[in-house]
Amino acid sequence: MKKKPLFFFSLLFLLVCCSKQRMVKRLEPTEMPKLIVPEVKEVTFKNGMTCFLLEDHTLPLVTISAMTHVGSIYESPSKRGLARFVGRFMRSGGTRAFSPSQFDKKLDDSGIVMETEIHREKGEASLQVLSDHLEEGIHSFIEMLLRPRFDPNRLDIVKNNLLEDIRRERDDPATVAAKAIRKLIYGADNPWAREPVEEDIKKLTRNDAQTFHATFFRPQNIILAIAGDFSTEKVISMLEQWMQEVSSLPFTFPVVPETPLQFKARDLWIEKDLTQSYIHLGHLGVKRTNPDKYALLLMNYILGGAFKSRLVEEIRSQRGLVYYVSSGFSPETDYGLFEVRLATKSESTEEAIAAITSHIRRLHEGGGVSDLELAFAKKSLLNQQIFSFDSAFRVVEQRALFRFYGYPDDYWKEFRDSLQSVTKEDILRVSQTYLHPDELVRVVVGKKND
Amino acid sequence: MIKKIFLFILISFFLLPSILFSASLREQVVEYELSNGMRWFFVVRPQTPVFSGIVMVRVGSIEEEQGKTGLAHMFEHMALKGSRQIGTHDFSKEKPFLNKINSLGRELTRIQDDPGQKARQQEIKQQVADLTASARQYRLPNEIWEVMTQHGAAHLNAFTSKDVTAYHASMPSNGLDLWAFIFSQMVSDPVFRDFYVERDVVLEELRLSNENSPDGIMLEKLVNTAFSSGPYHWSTIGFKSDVRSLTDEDAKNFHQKNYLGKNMVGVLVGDIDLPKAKETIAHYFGSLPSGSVNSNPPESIPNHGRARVEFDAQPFLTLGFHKPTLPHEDEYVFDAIAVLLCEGRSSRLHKRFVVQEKIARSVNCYGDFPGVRLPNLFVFWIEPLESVSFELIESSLSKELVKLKEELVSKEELLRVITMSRAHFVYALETNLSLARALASFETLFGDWTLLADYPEKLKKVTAEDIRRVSRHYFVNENQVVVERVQKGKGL
Repeated sequence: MKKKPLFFFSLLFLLVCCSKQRMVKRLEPTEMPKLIVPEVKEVTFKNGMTCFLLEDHTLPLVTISAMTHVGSIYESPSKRGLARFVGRFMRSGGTRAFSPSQFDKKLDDSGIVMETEIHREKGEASLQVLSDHLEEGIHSFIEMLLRPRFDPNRLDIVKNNLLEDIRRERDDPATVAAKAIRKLIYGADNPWAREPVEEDIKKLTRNDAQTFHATFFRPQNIILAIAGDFSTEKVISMLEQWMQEVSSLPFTFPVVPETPLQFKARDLWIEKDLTQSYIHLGHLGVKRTNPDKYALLLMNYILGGAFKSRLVEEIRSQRGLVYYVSSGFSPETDYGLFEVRLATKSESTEEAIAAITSHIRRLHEGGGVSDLELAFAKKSLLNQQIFSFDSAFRVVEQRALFRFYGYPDDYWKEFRDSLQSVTKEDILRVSQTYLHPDELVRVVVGKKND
Repeated sequence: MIKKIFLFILISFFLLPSILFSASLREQVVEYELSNGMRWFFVVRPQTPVFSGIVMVRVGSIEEEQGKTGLAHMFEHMALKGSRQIGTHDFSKEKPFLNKINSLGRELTRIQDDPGQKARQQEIKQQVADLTASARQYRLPNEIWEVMTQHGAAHLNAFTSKDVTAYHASMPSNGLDLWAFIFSQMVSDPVFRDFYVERDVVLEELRLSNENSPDGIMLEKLVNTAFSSGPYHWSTIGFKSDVRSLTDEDAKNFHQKNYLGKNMVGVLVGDIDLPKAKETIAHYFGSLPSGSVNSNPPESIPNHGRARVEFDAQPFLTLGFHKPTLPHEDEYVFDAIAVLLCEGRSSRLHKRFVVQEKIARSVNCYGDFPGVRLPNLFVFWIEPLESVSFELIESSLSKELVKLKEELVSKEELLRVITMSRAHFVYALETNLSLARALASFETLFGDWTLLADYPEKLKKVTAEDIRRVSRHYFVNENQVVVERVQKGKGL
């Protein structure tokens, strides 16, 4: 009950202060919540794999995540879809000791949930296991990660699954719009945007999977995050034992060509028989290494990054044009995207696009971000930071992510301090530098009215 | 809508057991009843200085009537628009504008489809725009979101289902007073600000979920077909023609009738100081009128048969079987069947459809569609692979159902069902919010949160004979409803 002093403080505040102030103002906490990030145990194994561990015995379960430097950006252009294919095949294709069916049964018999997926630049594998099946869970996980069987009997199933993904992606208009705008902005062949078509998937082989896996799933490319009901010592010795034969060979990542920084207005209408238009507007953003990303995060929060934001306020709350509208300005390894997303009834398509564009233009032209707006955005983002660390798993996951992206271990402090120091002038400068209202790429999925 | 349905998928996960965990759960939950009959539950988890809170009202779209469908959800939107104390810095000055705007809104609603009244419609729209502009000086738009997020709130949201309406948010633990004040205002003192603009927002939501979402269209067809009339006949968001004619007075009446102490449940889970939390909760929620617990409306009339929807999307098949709901004892058997058939890659249907016959991308079972307060459906959802016919899918499913009806499930398989259920139970209650939601759901839906804790024992008692008996009884043609979704223009 460490919070006692704070409680008394706020009680005192209530009694003494501001009887004329509105109730809601009187109840606002006067201090920021204290963010205390617990100590995490870090181990680097002989073979180069890094592991972050944090015990938490609240519930009888253990959660593990493995992040691997692997992704579709490293695919050769003739092997589109290979990364995603390997991600699914690893989990479906069994391990050295177990056929796919045996492996599935073994996991289900113990209530173990294990999944894998490979994205553009990150491989993710996850495990949930009750602590009384921990040993089996971790062993299975490591085997799958480092020594998957890629059983030929499962090849068709994995391909079927990916082919259906591609076919069914077109079912959802928002997904269609999101993929289309990416391709327009980056270029359809750009490693950060390209997508496999059905023919690409059909060509992939088991041998492709084995080679790709052997290339990237090396211990030094993998970071583990483990949290829950276990003994740190025991888990470390288990991992050591099962990884004995896995050594690490030197490896250089293939060079991924950098995206040229270009801005050019373009419009694409994808016809679909719908009662709403699914609208995506955007252009290239910034890299993760750009120090302006903090100011941009705040700028975006003010524009459409929160429910209390300019876009939501006008387009939803005042005009009733949408159920959702939001903007994102997320920094990535290469240039990320600035993107606004919304859906509105077909008749209001033009009105909505005009309203969004004028908000972007207003910001770009210096359109007065007020002290209140900036203070609100800062306070919200800083106070919500605690929820990135609200469980033992989140704590180790954040640590692993920081390492993955090459940030310092206490990056959350850098994040906090950088956000704190952003000024109104910074917002003005980044709005002018990084927003391009005349060079927006616009994609609409829906039915043309005329 | 899809999100609303997933709530019930989640709830059916909660219906699954962990012996150890549930025993400790019973000890952890502190009950607290306010003088007005509102029931509160607290679980102290001091590991991190945050908490999650939920207020759940036993009112869903089953409390609506034909012609006013969508009202429960419409009200949910109103709760977040503020009160006399939130959303304005001077309600006494805002009020005359509000009254005038809403009365014009009602008039416009009455004449909106009358082509002879075009001029009056335009006139009203202009007046509303002018009044809204004048009222703006007294308003603090979206203040609930502003204040909550500013003080670190996460997961701030609300949802409406067939059975309940709920409001929730997580906050740093120094925000409990603020949380309690704002949430009590949302449920006790709505002022129906911007009702008619928000109705347009809801209509956009309806277009998203029921008109342009291939899954939404299919699900709406499923409820319309499976229940020929009664409260399960419509989807939670309501029929479009009803929603566009709802008025602020409808919402006001709905609120007065249903948002009552005895009809509501609250839960706080996380880093809370118990005595202080009790005091705070009693202070803010104690003045709600007491009322009574909503009893269930008459059941819907179950229907069997087959329907088809066309949409620009890949084919999808849903099959439902009518069945009872809790506290009927067969419910535990259905949960065991759901795990046996669909949970995990070694489940019977996954093995047959995906691995052996290679005819589907996925197969899922859901035990409580579209709600749980009234008898409902056990549903199979199957995504066929390209050019696989529905006939083939149905015949394979029927073979699996015959197997259930004829052969007893082995001891080994039954054990797997129990182990998996136990694991999922723990995984599903891991976060403060998920535990809060589960406790609130059981208490609100069945009047007894301990059903959650007792479930393991109940499920453990399910036998192979039970599974065979229940399958024989319910998985029969006269109980079955099928909805096929076919690619538009390609009607098979």
